[in-house]
Amino acid sequence: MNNFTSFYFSFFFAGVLLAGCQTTAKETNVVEITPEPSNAPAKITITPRELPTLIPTRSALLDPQMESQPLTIEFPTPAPVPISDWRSPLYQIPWALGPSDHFYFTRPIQADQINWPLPDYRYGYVFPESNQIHTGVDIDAPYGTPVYAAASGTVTFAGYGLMSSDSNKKDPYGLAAAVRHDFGWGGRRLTTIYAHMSEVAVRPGMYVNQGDIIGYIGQTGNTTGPHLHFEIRLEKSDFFASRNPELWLVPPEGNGLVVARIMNSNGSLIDNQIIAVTNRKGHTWDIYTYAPLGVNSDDHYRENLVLSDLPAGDYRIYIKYEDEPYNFWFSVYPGSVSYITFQGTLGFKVNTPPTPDPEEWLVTPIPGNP
Amino acid sequence: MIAASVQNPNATDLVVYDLESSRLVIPQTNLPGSINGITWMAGSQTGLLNSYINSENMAPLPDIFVAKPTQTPGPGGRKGVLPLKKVNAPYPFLQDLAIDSYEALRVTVGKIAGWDFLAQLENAYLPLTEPPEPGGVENWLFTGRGIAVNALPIQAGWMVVSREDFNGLPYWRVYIKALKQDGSQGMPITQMVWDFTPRFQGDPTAYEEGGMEVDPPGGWWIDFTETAKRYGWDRLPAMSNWRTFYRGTRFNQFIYDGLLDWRIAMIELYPPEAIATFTPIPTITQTPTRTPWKLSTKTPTRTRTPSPSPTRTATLSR
Repeated sequence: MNNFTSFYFSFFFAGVLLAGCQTTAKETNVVEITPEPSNAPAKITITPRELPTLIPTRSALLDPQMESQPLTIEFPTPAPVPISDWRSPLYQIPWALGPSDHFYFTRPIQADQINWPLPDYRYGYVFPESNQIHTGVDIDAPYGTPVYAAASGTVTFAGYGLMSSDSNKKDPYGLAAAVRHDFGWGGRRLTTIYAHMSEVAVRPGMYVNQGDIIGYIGQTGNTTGPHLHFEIRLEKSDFFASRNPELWLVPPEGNGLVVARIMNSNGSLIDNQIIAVTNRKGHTWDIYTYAPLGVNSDDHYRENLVLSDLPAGDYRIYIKYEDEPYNFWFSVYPGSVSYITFQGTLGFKVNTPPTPDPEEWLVTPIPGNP
Repeated sequence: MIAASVQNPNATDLVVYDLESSRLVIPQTNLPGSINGITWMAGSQTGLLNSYINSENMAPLPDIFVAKPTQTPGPGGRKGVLPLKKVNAPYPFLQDLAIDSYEALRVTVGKIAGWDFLAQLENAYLPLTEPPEPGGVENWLFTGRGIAVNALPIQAGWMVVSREDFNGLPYWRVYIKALKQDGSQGMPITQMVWDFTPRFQGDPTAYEEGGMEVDPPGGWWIDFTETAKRYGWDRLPAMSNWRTFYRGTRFNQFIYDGLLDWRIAMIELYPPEAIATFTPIPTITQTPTRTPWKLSTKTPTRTRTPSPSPTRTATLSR
């Protein structure tokens, strides 16, 4: 292993240590955030009460206060079992309302478990006091939970050694699988990675459909707790070819996401900047912009911040820039991307993703003319 | 006498009935272009029409291009793809029979629009091993007879589309902006155009409908769909999920099918076996691993089986 590989090996090692270890993250001032459940009825707890005695006791008769109050009798009321685990189903894939959208994948964990990215260790996050970057998202789930193919494709790797290619059990990805999908984006191949599993249920060459079991949640590789490390790679299955999975996993119905490009006044991206997004009920999501190296922005959005699974509604985004607070209200629409830019003292702006200048495609002269 | 135009997604036909004799005066005839209006003239019905039909106006139009295959068919009569000259595309190739038509169309569009719209393509020929967009079936780009024109101008206001439904399927008419907006190029758009953007901007109706009709933009425009049709390039209907899948609209895809269906068009390029086992991922030989696959299993492995032979530890303790 050369020095270069060694650097990124250790870099990933520390990265995955953080995954599934929320306590550590909290101690380093990373706020734990849980996506706000939408349309979730309050959990009802029914405790059967003890049946009262129908014949007044002597002591009760002697109590002057009791004498003045009418006798009330309460019985436990039967009620249906409360439904407290309801979550909105996902939109159908492929889902893309706009020309830049590409929600081509469903969730690798089913909705009976938490199937959204761990909020305090998103794509592009940096391990505190280091420069190690996360190249995917982590989804917490109990040990043994099935992991499903996010879309159809062919298994190209299964086992240990995804990163080190030597089948060793110390590979940071642990027991992992890679699926090369039979569709792409802009003519480029898409690959999904499922890591840290306890068992792999596929083998290379197998064709899997969306929803087929890839394996089971585990804690193999460099991890401190059971979870799934999920990556999306574009064009080639390479550690450095990752993209933010939150831009590719289809949102639940009624939910959208905010994609932002946070820049300084000169138009350069700001790294590792904490941003707060708050809804009208006061629920706040604290997120960080991408680290400068090791992760990739989307070709179209050129973003450095993504927050998915936001119920449609109004939100306020907050940033502190050069000791000045900047607030901005924006709307999230169902199934849609709200694209926002921040450029230093110019502040926030709801924007459309950058498109190539007409100079790039407005070709003259005309063929056939001298 | 009744004259009627019959509209199809990619053709306009004319048919004329004689009510007195209950006969077809002109059977359904494919017209080289769309009908833009009616010309009223004085005279007897049959006499005028017959003289018009027999005049030079109804003589077959000269070919606007001639397809000249340059390749000798390979094994099984299969054809090949040829490179497009000075075209920017991921794979700038088209099937031998389609390439002459494309180049003639490119010159014509360049002349009437004032800019070389077909110098850049989102896609031309797509090799069988390349990944298509998801959800598509019978992708014509694989046949070398399809193109996906550059869709970026629609975001810059240099392209608009109008929706035309046939047999319950939405088709799109593509207009591109003329370079000169002084009236010397193009014509005003007279039909409503379809705007896709409101469907992701919080308008519930547009969200349900996949967009909304809006007034046509001002200025001078080229009907690219009409021009392409004259050169044999047909449009495709939107896929069933187009309302929520932008690329499923297929407004920028055109095919030169030569009256072939997709399978026959594929067999022109590939052996039938390749179509029967069609998969964008033909083999697993490119697996980026040098080691055998290994499954994690709860089954004890041989290495963990206790050995009956004395261990080295026992030897040392003796």
